[in-house]
Amino acid sequence: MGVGVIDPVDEITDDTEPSNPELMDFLVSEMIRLDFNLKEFMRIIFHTRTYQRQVTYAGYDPAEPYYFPGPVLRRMTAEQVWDSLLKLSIKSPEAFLRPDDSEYIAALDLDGDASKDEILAVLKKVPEAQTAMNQEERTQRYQNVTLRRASELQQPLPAAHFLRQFGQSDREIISEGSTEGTVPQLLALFNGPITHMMLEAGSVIYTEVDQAAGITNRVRIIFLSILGRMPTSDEMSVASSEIRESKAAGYGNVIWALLNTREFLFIQ
Amino acid sequence: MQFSNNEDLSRRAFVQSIAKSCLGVSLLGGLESVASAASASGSSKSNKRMIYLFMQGAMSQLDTFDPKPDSKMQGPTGVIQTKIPGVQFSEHLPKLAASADKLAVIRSMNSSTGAHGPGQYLMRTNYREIASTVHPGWGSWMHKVHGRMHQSLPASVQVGGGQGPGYLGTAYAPVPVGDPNKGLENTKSPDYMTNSLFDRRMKLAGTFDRSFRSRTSGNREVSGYDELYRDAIGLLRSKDLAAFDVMAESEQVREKYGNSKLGRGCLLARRLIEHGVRFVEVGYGSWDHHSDLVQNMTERGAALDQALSALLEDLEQRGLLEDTLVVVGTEFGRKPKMNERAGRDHHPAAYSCVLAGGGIQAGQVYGETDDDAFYADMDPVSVEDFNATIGTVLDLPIRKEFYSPSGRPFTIAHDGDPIKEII
Repeated sequence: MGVGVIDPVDEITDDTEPSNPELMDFLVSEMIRLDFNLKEFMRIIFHTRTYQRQVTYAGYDPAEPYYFPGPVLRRMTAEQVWDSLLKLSIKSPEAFLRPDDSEYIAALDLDGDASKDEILAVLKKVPEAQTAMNQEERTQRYQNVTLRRASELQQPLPAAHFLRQFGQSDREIISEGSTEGTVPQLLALFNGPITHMMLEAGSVIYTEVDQAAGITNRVRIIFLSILGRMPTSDEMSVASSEIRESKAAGYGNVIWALLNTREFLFIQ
Repeated sequence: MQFSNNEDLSRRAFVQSIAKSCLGVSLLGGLESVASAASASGSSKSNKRMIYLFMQGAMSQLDTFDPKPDSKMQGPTGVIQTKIPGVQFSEHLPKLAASADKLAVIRSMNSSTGAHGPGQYLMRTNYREIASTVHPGWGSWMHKVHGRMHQSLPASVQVGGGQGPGYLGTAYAPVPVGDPNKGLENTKSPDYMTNSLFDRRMKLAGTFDRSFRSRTSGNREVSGYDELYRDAIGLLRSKDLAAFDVMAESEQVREKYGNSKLGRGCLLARRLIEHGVRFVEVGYGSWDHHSDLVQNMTERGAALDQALSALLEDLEQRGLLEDTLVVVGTEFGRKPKMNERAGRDHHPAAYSCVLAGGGIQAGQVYGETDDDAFYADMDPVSVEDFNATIGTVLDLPIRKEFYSPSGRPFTIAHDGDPIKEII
C-alpha cells in the first residue's frame, strides 16, 4: 500500500497508535488466524479491492491521516527497477541463478577433529571451488555488470552498484533502503550499461520489435513492454513520425525516451 | 580558481531550451536556479563551506581524542603529546597531534540515544526521528539559505551516506557518490550520442511523460524530478565535471591522503569544495568496535589521521580553510570498560567530536570528561549545542523558524546554544 497502519514502523510501545484501530484489530486477528503465515497474509491483501484500486496520485502526506483509498503512488524499489530493466534485456532472467556453491560448502564442511591431511586437502579444494564459482559468475556479465535478478545478487552490493544508486540498503543498519530520486540515478538511465544493452541487437525488447511487422505494431510492443499500457493516439503519432524520420534508430530513441519518463519509474 | 559565472552561455541557453520544451516547466518557474544559480535559491553572500567527516558506527573517545593514560580503562591504546601544551591524543593520531593547533576538540559531547540509526539521524539533523516529518541535513540547509556557488555543480554532495533534504524537498537534495574512486558515474555518453540526439530523446520523453505528469500534478515526489532532470543535464554538460574525478590528482597527492575510503573521500571533498560545491559529507563506516579494538583502531585511526591531516593542510595551502568548516562527527562514544571480546560497547554519555577551519577558535580543547571518560563532567555539550555551533559558524540563521509542508515550525539550532568559546 505504501503506507503502514503504523507508520513508520516502530516496536509497538504503549504510545503507539495505529491510524485506524479497527483495521489494525482486524489485521491482527487475521494474522493470528493464519498462524503468522506471511505468504497467505499477503495473498489476502493482494486480493482486496483496496489494494487493486488505482493509486492515490496526490501522494502521501505524513501529517494527514491516510484512509487507504488505494495504494499510494510510489517509485519502484531499487530491486524493481533493476529487475524490470533486466526483463527487457535478457530472456528469462529468472533462469540465471547464483553460481552453485555446494562444492565450496563441501570443501569447508570439516569436522572439528579433522586430521592434518584432511585439512590440507580442503586448503587445496577451496580455491578450486572459488575459481569455478568466479568463472561461472563471469559468464553472466555485460560490461562488468552481473546480469542476475536482484534477489540472486550478493548483499550488500558495492556502493556504486546500480541497485545501491537506486536506494538498496547497505545493510549496515535496518530500514536503510530508500526510493528517493537522485541525480546519479538519472545519469544511470541516460548513459548506464543497462540502457546500452537494451538498445543493442539481441536484447529482448530489440528482438521483439525486430520480429514484429509494421511501425504501429512495433510502437505498441515498446509501450506495452516499458509502460505496461498502449500508446495514446497522440503518442502513437509522435512515435511513428520519429521512426519515419530517424529510421531504425528511431526505435532506439523511443525506447530510450520511455525509459527516461517518470511514468516508467512510478507504480500506478 | 573560479566559483561562479564560469559557465558559457551556450550551455545556459541549452538548459533553458530543453527545460522549456521537454520538461514542461516554465522558464520563470525555477529554471533560473540553474541559469543564474547563485541568486535563485539563496540570497546570502556567505562564502562558508563545510566538509563533514562522519565516523559511522560510533568512534571511541578513549582511543582517539580523549585518552586517559592514568585510568585502568585506557586499555591497550597508548597516548602521545599534541602541539597543544598538556593535551594528549591516542597513539593512533600522530599527524593530527602534530597539527592540533588547527583543531577545536570537544571532549564533552553527549547524546540522548545509544542506537546507531537514531544517533546518526540526531547528529545530522539536530532532531529525533519522528513519524510525521523528515528533517534536512547541513547540505540542504546551506543550499536553501546560501544558494549554490557554482551553476552546474551541485550545492551538496554525499560520499558514502548522509541525510537527504527532508521537508525542504528534492530541489535541495545532495548528490550521492557511492565510490570516491569512481566519482560520478555514467557521465560519458556513447559516441553516437551527440548533444542534439540527446535533446531529441529528452523531447520525446517529455511528450510521453505529459499525461502522467498532469495526473500527478501536486505530488511532491514526482515534481521533485523536475529539479533532478535539470541538475543531471546541467552536470552532464558541465565543464567542471572533473571536480568529481580524484584520478585527476597525481599519485603523490592521492598517497598523501591514503588509500582508505576516507582518504579518497577527503581528496574528493577537497576537489569539490575548491570547484564550488558548498557541502560535502564523507561517511566512513565500521567504527562499531565491539571486538578486537586494537586491530580495528590501528587501521581506522591511521586512516583518519592521514586523511584529515592531509585535508587540513591542502585547504590551508589553498586559502580555503578560513571559509571551510571541517567537522569530525560520530553518533556516540564507546564504553570505557572493555568487554570480554577485547572491544568497547555503545556509550552515549560521553564522546569526542572535532571542528577545524571555518574561522573557529582553533588550538583548544573544550569540555572535559571524568577520570575514565565515562561522563561529560565539565561544560557538557549536547548534540543540539554542537549543531547550533556548526550552524553559527556557517552563517546560518539558527533561530529562524522554517516551516515543513504540514506547517510545523522548526529551527536549525533546535534547543541548542552555540559554544561561545569556539565560534
